[in-house]
Amino acid sequence: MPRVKRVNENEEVAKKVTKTASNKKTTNKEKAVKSEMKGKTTAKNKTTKTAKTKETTTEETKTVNTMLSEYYDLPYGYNQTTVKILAQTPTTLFVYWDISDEDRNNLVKQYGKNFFYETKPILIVHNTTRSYSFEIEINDFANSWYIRCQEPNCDYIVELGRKKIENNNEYIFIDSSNDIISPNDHILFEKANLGSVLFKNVKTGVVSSKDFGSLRFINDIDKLYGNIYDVYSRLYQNEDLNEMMNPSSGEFIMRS
Amino acid sequence: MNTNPKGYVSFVLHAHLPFVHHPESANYLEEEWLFEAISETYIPLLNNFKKLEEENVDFRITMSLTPPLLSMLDNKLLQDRYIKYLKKHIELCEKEIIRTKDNPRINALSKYYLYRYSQDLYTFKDEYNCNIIQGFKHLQDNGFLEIITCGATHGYFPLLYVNEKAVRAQIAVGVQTYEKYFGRKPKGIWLPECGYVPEADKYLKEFGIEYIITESHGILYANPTPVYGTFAPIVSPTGIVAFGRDMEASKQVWSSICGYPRRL
Repeated sequence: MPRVKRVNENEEVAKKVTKTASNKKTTNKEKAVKSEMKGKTTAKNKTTKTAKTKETTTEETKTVNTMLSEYYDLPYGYNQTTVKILAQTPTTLFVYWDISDEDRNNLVKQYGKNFFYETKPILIVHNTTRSYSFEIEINDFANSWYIRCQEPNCDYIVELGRKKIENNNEYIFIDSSNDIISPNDHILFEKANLGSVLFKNVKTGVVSSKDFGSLRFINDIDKLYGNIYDVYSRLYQNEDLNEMMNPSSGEFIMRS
Repeated sequence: MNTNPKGYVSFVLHAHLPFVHHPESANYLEEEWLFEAISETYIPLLNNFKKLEEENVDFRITMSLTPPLLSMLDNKLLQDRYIKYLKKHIELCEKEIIRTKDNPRINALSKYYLYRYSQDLYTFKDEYNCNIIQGFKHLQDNGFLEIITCGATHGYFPLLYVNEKAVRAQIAVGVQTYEKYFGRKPKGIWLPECGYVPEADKYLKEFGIEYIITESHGILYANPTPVYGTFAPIVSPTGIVAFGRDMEASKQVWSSICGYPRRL
C-alpha cells in the first residue's frame, strides 16, 4: 500500500507563508520472514493513516495551490512464487525469490504446521554447461543473494528449496529460476579460427563469404597471420590482450 | 575526395541526463545539472553545428538524445527555471565586475562570463524560443546531424531482460518519444549504458531499429571473435548492426587509469 503524504505545492511561493502539516499514520508492516517465524503466512503490508494538513498564512498571501505529491514505496512482495537470476558480472550472479501465500499454505498443509521452522532454505546452483551443481545454505531473513560462480559464459539455473534441519538428506523443492548464460569475460581466442569471414550487405541483405587470407587489410599488413591473437596484437598494439576490458572500468573490476 | 579511404571514423555523441523535475519545490539543486548542461554543452554544440552549416561543412555527426533529456528540454517549468538560472548568474557577474574592478585578471573573467551567460539567454530565449530540441531537429532535417534514440528511461537491458516486456517497453517508448520530437523513426539506438542482450534483438527489429551502439567489449567478446575487432561493425543473427566504441579514443576520455579522469 502506498504511503501518501500530502504536501502543499505552489510554483510561485508567496512571500510569507507558514504552514504546518501533520501527518499521523501508523504502519503495520508484517514481513513475510517474520510471519513465517510466527507460523502465519501473510506478506501483507497493513497501513492505517490519518493525514491532517493545517495551513496558516500571514500578511501578503495568495491562496496556495495544493497539489498532491505521492511517495511510493515499492511493495515488499507481489505474492507470487518466483525465483529469478540476473548476472551482475561474468562471475557473480544475483538471485531473488519469493513464495506466495498460497504456496506457503500448501506446503504447511502438506508437511505440517512447523514446516518452516523445521527446515532451512537453500539454493542449488546448477551449471548445466559444465554439468555440476553446488548448494548454498541461506536464511529466512533474506530474499535475495549474490552467488560467486567461477565460470563465465556458462548456462546457470538456480533452484530454491528447503532441507530438514535435522535430516540433511530430506530436500523439498520449491521453485526453480529462469536459466541464464553468464556473460563472457574475455576475447574468445581459443574458439576463433580463421577460415572464412561472413559479410552482410545491410542494404541488400546479401550474405557473402570471403576467405580470411584474401581480406584486403590482411594483405595490406603484409604478413600472414595464423590466428586471431596475432591479428589483434597488430590491431591493438598498445593493449594487453589478455586484460582487455571496458575502458571505463579500470581497476575497479572485481577479480575473483 | 579520397575515393579509396583507409577507413572511416564516426563521431557519436551521447546526450543524456536523468529526469529531474520538482514542481513542488521552488529550487531543486539537481535541476541545475540540466541548466549547466544546456549552457556548457547543448548550446555550444548548437552554435558550433550552426557555424559549420553556414560554412557548408558536411560534418555528419551522430548524436543520441535520450527520452528523459528530451522530456526535460521540452518542459515549460524547467525552461522557465533555466531562464531564472541564467538571470541569477548574469546578476552575479555584474556584481562581480564591480567587485573585482581592481583585479584585471578576475575582472576579465567576470566580463567573459557576463558575455557568455547573456549570449546563452539570447540564444535560448530569442533564437530558439526556449525550444532547443528544434535546433537539433533542424540540423537533422538538413542532413548534417543524425540523431538516434535511447531506452525510454535509460533502463539497463542486461538486468531488465528477466522480464522481457520491460525491454520491449524501453525500446517502444524510446522510439515513440523520438518520433514525437523529430517527426520520423529513428534508425539507430544508443543502448542505455551500452548494455546489450541477445533477447533485445527481436524488439529492436520490431520497432525498426537498424543499428545499435554498444561497448568495445560487447564487440570484442562476441562469438565468433570479429576479425576486424572494434574497427568494423558486426551483425547479429536478426540483422541488427552493432557498432562498438573505439578502445583507444574512449580510454582517453573515460579511463580512470590512463585517461582524463585519472587521479594524478
